[in-house]
Amino acid sequence: MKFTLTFADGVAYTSPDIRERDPGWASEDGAKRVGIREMILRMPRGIALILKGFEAYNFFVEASQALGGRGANIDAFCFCGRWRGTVLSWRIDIKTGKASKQISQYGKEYFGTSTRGWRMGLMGEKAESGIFKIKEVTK
Amino acid sequence: MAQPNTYWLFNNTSGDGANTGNASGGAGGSSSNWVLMDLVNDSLAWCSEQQTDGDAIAGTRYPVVIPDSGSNEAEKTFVKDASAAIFDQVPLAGTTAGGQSGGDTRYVFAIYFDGATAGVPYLEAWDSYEHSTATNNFLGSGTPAESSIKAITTTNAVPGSATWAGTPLAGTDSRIELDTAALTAAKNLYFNIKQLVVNGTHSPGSSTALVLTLRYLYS
Repeated sequence: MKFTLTFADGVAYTSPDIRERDPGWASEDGAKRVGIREMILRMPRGIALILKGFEAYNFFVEASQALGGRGANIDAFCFCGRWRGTVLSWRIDIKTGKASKQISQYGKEYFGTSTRGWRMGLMGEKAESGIFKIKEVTK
Repeated sequence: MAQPNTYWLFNNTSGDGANTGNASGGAGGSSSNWVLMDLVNDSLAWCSEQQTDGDAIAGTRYPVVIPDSGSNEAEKTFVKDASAAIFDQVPLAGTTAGGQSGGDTRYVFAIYFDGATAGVPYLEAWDSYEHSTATNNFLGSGTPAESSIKAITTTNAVPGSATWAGTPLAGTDSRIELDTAALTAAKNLYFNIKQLVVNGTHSPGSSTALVLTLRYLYS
């Protein structure tokens, strides 16, 4: 599973597999780039999660490690878009494969707590997000 | 901010000092000594006062007694150290209501992160490492407030009371935040934990499947 960022200047960045130890959000050097225009996660069976038009974006992996368990596990992937003080969060549960959407106040986007790693999007755009079926075009 | 490595440690002395050895543990501040836990093979055990530090795991186990009325805090807390095959006591665990040296102390259990996180790390309790349910009788039988396992974060300060109440742990409904914000660098997070069994709420028995779970974010 990989996500793709498209920046305002048209440059695109595709992450490593987000199930790896470095999923690529924090290590991607976007400091010199303009804001993110669109974020897409391509999932199996031609499904894609799309966020676009947000003022800021965030992505993080939720992991757990149990005393009495078997090492660290990835439990979920979270994709967030911020717009006018509100955060739209998608949480994709690895075990169930279900995606759930939540809207919260900025600073309380993860079970009432804040997250770090926010990156600039674009101002004045219409924020949109959803899960879509992608029609692949082959020749 | 790739996935950080995490290390669970406990202080097996009455010296209330920080884990200066980080991932390796060893001698810490104020004559403390930090032991690195084996997350797969070690486990926590709450016992009665009859259990003694250094007892063999293969020997007799003395469970916590559920009182005829009211509640009872586990008198002693141990880590069952699989490699040493002993009950290794955590003397500062719990409160002064127990039978150890616990109370308004700070450096009891530690989880060392060797890197930053994207959010606040949490400590939770579950029925098993599958993390699908938290309804065991000792976790409140579906009523998180009645969980017998209670914890308190001491990362930034002592509890403020020698008889701290703590937060009952049961799944994601009732858990503790181990710090006030996402970690920006490597750090030790500290907590204390106790078991409080209540007559009429908790039933005689034991569970070897219950787990304490660290939940954290990275990107």
